[in-house]
Amino acid sequence: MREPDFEIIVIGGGHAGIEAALAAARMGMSAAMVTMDKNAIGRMSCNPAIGGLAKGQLVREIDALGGEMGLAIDNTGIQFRILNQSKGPAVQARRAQADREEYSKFMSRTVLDQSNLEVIEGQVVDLIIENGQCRGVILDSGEKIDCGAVIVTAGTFLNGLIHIGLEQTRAGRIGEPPAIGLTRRLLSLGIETGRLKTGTPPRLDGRTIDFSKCEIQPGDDPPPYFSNRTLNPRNFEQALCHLTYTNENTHRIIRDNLNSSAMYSGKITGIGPRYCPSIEDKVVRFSERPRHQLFLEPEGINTTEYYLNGFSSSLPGTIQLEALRTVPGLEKVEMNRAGYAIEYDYFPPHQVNITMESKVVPGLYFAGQVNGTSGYEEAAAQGLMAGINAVLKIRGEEPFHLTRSEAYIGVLLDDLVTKSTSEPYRMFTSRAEYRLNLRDDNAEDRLLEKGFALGLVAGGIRENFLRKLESMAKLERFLRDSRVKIPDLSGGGDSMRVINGFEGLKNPGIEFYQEPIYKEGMLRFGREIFSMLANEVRYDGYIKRQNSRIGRMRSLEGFKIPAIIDFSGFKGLKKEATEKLSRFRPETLGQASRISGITPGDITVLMVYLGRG
Amino acid sequence: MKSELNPNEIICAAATPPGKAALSLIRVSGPGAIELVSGMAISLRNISPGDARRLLRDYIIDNDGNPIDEVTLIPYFAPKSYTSEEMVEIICHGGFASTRVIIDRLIRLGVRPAEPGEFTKRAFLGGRISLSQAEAVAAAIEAKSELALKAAARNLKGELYRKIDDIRSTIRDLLALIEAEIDFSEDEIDKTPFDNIAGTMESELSKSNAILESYDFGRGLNSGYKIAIVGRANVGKSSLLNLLLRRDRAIVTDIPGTTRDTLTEWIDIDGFPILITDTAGLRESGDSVERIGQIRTREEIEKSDLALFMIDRTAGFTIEDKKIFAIFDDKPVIVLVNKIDLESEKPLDTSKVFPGQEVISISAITGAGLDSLKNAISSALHIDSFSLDSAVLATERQYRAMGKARDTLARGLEELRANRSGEIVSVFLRETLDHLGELVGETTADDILNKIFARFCVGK
Repeated sequence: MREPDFEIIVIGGGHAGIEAALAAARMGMSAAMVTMDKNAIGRMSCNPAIGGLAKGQLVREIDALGGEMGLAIDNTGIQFRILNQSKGPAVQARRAQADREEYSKFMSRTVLDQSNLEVIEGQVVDLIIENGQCRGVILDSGEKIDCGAVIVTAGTFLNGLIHIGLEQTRAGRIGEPPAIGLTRRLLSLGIETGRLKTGTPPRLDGRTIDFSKCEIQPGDDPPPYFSNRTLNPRNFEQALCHLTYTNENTHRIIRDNLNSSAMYSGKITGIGPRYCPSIEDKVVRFSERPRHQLFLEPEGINTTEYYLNGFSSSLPGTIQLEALRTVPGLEKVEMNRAGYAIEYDYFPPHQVNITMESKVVPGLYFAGQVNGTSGYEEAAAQGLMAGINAVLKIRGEEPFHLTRSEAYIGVLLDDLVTKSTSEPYRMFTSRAEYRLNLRDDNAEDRLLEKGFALGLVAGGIRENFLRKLESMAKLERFLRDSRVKIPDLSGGGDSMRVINGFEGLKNPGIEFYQEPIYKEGMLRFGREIFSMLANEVRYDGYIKRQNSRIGRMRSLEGFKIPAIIDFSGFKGLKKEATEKLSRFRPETLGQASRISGITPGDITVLMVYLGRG
Repeated sequence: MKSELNPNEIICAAATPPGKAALSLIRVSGPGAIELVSGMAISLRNISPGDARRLLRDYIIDNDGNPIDEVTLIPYFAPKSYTSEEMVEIICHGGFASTRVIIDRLIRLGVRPAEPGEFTKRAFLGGRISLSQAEAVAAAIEAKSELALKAAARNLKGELYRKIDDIRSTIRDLLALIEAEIDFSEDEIDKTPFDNIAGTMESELSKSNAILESYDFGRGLNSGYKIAIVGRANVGKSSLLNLLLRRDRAIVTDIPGTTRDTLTEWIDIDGFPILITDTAGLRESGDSVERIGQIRTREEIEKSDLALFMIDRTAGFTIEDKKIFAIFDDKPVIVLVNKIDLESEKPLDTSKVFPGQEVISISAITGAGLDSLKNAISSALHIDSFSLDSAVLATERQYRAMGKARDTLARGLEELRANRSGEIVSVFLRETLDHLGELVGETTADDILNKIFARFCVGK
C-alpha cells in the first residue's frame, strides 16, 4: 500500500474546520483542509461576535487547550465586554464584536501559514471507503486524495436551501454554492440525516441609520481579552453597539404579511431554534409585548455595514424594509442584504462517538453545524476535539475525553451523543450541572495541562500559567496572615469580628475594593490573580454541595457498554428503551442514563445483563 | 448499586395495602413455594399442576397444627404466574393482625420478606410483565417512585403525589425565572422581584412542612404504634390484653386465660397495627415497687406512643398506683378504671384523683367499656382523623427525602436572603427538585429550558 497523501483531511474551512485542521497539524500530523474558497476561511456567516453567555466559557476552554478562536478574536475584536456582571462570576462571560473581514483574514493567514497543513480549494463530492473505513476523499475535479481520517465540518452547506419570502435558492451561505454530492454519499453509507432551519437578520447600511435615536452600548475598559496568548494590549478604540426597539406599527406590518413569510406559509419544514426566533415568531408568540429590542452591531472598522441582531426574518425583502422603517433610527434605512432563513442537512449526532468519530464509518469524523449545533464556539469546540481524537486514533493512543465536570466542552459532546436535537443545539450555562466550577476564570486551571500534554500548548504559555498558580498561593498566604473585620451576625446588631483575610473572602458582604488588605492584595498580585482566588474561595462550599449531589451517578461513567450488543435481546427493557439504546448506542452506562426516556430501571436491567455477560 | 438478590429464594409480601379492608392478599413466590406453604396449609399437600389457579379454602395452622386463620389459597406453577415462578397467593381476612400473623409464619418457615419492587423485578426479568410496565419496574427497583406506585395501588392517584408534584412544579417555574435571568440576560427578560422569589420559596417551604407532619400517620400505618399497659399486678392487665386480642376477630384460636408467653401482641384498631405490651415485669414485693421493675417499666413506657394506666376500681387509687402514675412524665396516658363489673366499697372520684386526665371505666371480663377504650386510643394516636385520601408520607425513606427537600429549600432561602446570586440559589433549588424527584419522578435540565422558552421571548 502506498503512503497516503495526508494523515488527516478536514472538509470545510469554517470554525470547526479551522480548529480541527490546526490541532491535527500542530500535533505533528500532515493535514489538509479542503475548502471551496480560500478566502472564506473563518468567515462569520451569522452575527459578527464571538463569546457570550456559556459560549465565552467555551472559547476560554478552547484557548486553554491550545485552540485558535480566542487569539483570533483578541486580534480582530472591535468591542469587548463581560456579560452578567450583576451576577456571580460563575455565570459571567466574555463577548466581543468582531471585525468580520479582519477575523476571517486572521484565520486564513493562520491556516495558510501553519506548517504541516495544506489548503486545497475544491469541493468534496465523494469519500473513499476501504473495508468499511474512511480512507480519503474525491474532489469535484475528479482528484482522489488518500488519508487516514476525514473530518467533515461542512456547516450548513449540505443541501442548503435559502428562503427569502416565498423565493427559494439552493445555496450554502448566501452567494456560495451548496454541497450536495457528499450528503448523498453519506446516506448511502447508512448515515441518517435530518433537516434543521436557522435564520439571519438583514445587514444594514450604517450611513442611513440615525444613531442619535438609539441607546448606546459601549465596551468595557480595559477590554477583557480571551486568550492567554494575548499578552500585550492592542491599541484601538472600542466600537459602539446601539439598541433600538420595534413598535406596534412594525408588528402590524409583520402580522399583515405573515402569509408571505417562508416560515409561516409552510415552505420551511426544518425546525428552527427557540432561542433565536424570527421576528415573525416574536410578534406572533409574544403578541402582548409592545416592543422588541434590536441591536445594531457594527460589522467592522472599514465597513459601514451593520448587523441587526434580533430581526431574523424570512419575509420578502420589501416587507422587511417597510417594517424596519417604522423603527426609531431606521426611518431612512437601506438594506445591503435582506434577512433570510436557511434549511440544511445535518447528521443527528447520536451517530458519532464521544470522540466525534462516526459509529457507522470508522475514520470519518463529524464536527460543528453538521452535528446539529449552532454557534461558532460550539463548532470550534467540536472541531478541536475531533482533530485531537483523529490524531490520537491514527497514533493508536487512547481517546481524549473531557467529562461534564471538567468543561463545557465535555457537556457539549456528552449532550450531543445522548440527546436528540430537535433544534440547533446551543450551549447554555444551565445545561452544565457543574456550572459553579466551569468558570471563565479557571479554564486554564481545568484544561491547560491537558492541552500541554497533547502538544497543543507551548511551554512558555504553560510557564506563565504555573506562575499564576504560584502567585495565587502567595496571595493566599498573604491574606491568611492579614486580618479583616466583618459584621458578626451571631452577635446581632452592629458588632464586628476579626478574621483572617482568606476566610474573609467567603463573606459576600465585604466590598473588596474598600478593604485595605484586599486593595493591597490586588495591587501586589494583580486583579486577575485576586479574582481567581476570590472566586475559588467564594464557591468552594457550594461546589462541594453541587458535586455531591451529582456524584451519585458518576460510578456509571466508567461502566462501558460493548459497541456491538443487541439490546433487543434484553428481556425486561421496555420498548422505548430498546429503541433508544439501539439508536444511540451509548458507550457507557453514564451516557445511557442521560438519554431521555431511559429510566433508572432500564439502567438496572443493563447492569444485570452486562454484569452477567 | 444494589447487591444482587438471590433469585432462588422464596419471597413473600402483602400485595394489598395495610389498613381497613375486608380482605388481604399475601403473595409467596419462588421455586418450591407451594411445598413450603403446605407446611402451614394442608390443602396444598399433594397437589398437581392440574390444580393450578384453583381456589382452595383452608386454614393456616400453627406449629402445633392448630388453625390460626381461615384463608383462600391459590397455587400457581411456573411459568404461569405473576412472577413466572411457582407461587402461592393467600387471601386472608383484612386488617393488619391477620396479615401479620401469616407473614410471621411464612418467615419462620424460611421465606424472606421481599425487597421493595422485588416481585415486579422477578416478573419482568422473567419476561412476564408487559414492556409498558417497565417504568413501574424502574421505580420499584430503585425504590424511588415508590410513593407514586403506592398511591396508584391505593387507587387514588395520590393526594400526596399531587401535593409534592405541585411543589415541584412551582420550584421548576421559579428555577426557570432564575435561570432565564442568568442565561438570557441580554434578552427581553422581565426581572423577577426579590420578594416574589422569597415569597414563593416561603410558601413552598410551609407546604413541605405540612407534608412532613403527615409522617406520623404513614409511619403508624406501616410499622404500627406501640402501647404499654401499666399497672400493679392483679389489676387486670392480662385480661385486658386478652380482651383486646379476642375481639380482634382475625385471631380465632386464642382463648382467654391461655395467653402465650410473650407479653406483646399485635392488635388492629381502625386498620392500624398496634403492638400492645403488658408490662408484666412490674411486680410488687412487700409494700414497695421493685426498683428493677420500675426501670423496665420506664423503658417500656419510653418506647411507647401511648400508655394505658390501669387501676383496680375495687382497690381504689393505692399508694403503689400513685408511685406508678408518677413515672409517666409527659407521656400520653389513658387511665383505665377496671373491674366495674364488681361491687366497690370505695367510691373513686376520678376527676379529683386524675384532674384533666382521660379516664375510662371498663371491665376486662365482660368487655364493658371496650369500645370507649378503642375510641380513646384511636383519638389519642390521632388515628381517627386519618383517611386514606390524606396526603401521607408512608415510609422512612419518603420521610427522609421530603425532609432533605425541605432542609435544602430552607437553606436556599437563607442564601437568597443573604444576597447570594442566582447561580447559588439555583444549586439549592435544583437539589430540592432532586429530592422531590426521588418521591415522584425525575427532572432534567431540558425541563427548565423548555419552561424558559415557553415563557420568555428570548433571542436577540
